Amino acid sequence: MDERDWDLWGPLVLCLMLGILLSVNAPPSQSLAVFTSVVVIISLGSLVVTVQAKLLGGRVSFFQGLCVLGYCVAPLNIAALVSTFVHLIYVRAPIAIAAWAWCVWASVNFLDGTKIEQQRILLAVYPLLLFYFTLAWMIIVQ
Amino acid sequence: MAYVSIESDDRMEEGPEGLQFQSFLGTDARAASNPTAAGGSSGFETEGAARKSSGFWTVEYYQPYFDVDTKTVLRRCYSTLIPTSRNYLSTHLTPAADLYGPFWTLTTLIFSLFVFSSLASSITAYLSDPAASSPTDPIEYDFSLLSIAVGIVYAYGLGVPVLLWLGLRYLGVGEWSVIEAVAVWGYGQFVWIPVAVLCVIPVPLVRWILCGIAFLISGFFLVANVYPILAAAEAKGVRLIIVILVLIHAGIALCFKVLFFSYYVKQIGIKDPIDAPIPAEPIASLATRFFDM
Repeated sequence: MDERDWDLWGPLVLCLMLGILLSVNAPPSQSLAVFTSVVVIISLGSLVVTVQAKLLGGRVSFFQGLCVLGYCVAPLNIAALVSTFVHLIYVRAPIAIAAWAWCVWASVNFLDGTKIEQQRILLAVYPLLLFYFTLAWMIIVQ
Repeated sequence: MAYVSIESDDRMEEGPEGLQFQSFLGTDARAASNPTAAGGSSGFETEGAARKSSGFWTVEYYQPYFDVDTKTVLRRCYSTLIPTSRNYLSTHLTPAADLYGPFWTLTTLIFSLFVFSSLASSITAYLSDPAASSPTDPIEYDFSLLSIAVGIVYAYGLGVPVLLWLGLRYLGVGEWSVIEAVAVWGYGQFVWIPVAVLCVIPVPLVRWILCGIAFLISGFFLVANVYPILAAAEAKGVRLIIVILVLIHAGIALCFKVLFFSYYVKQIGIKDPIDAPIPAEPIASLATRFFDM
């Protein structure tokens, strides 16, 4: 993706879709809270991870970081879709973990391109792990 | 060898932009690969200039506080577990303290408290009544626990050191920066993360022992590193602040134990004297089942 060619439509659609999928399956009293927390987690999480990568010396533009991290949520959407129809935890958990691994792999590829030094790359990746794992956890336990 | 005497007032006013030993070995490599990095600390003057020229709302202002490598952060984390790190500030937090470690340690702590507490409650629910729950039941978790965790951990890990630093500055004591204070508190809570993982074990005595160990290790770390700062004051009364800090720390340890590590449905061993505030299933019938097994 070109450095200047970012858009936030994709991340917005993916975020809303994930929020809707998770809140539809939640108990009615909690569905609004679940939707709110998904949107908040995705927006705040992308923000924090992007700022963290910049602080560690990565050469990433702010909105491009938000854009890529938003698009990388796509595999978790697939896992949420599967979890909507399958309620067996022995199916949900491996699929969610696989989707989590896919998300992390995709965003690490992005981070590698931001020229963070090799000895710091794990510091930049770790917030990503936490961020996507939070979402994957919400998918598993819904 | 002539030493220039430095006024204590001047030293107190110096933050991270003051005289500090800067290692240029890493920065040279960085400068070679990142010639146009904005605010990159490729030298002492550049760092000072970058800090002066950018406002506190820019990313470059905070970049000096994230000038660490993975190895450094990990070393700072696990050296808090060793009870002999009295001079943590001078041996490990050189040349400057960082904000990455404390912030992410606290965030990981929130995360692990919440996740493992939910896991513990579902495990105990499953263990005590395997017939009722099935693999298709979702794990029930309490969102309010998450907000409580966020509030407590950030207030203690970030608020207390900042307040302490402000108080000490007001009293004219303490030659440490607020970043070092936050770093001591943030890294000091690292021991609670493995304890949170281990507290999934549903035996009350084990959980109390684990929490006690965590309290002692992190408490010792805090006291050993904060007391020298307090002892440098002229007024002897400042040293009593350490007692208040220990009491606050004990309160936090108790909060963690009661709020997050108290899910018992089946009693194994000695009964826990403090019950969970969030109601669990009735234990009367389950206790008889346990003794009949």
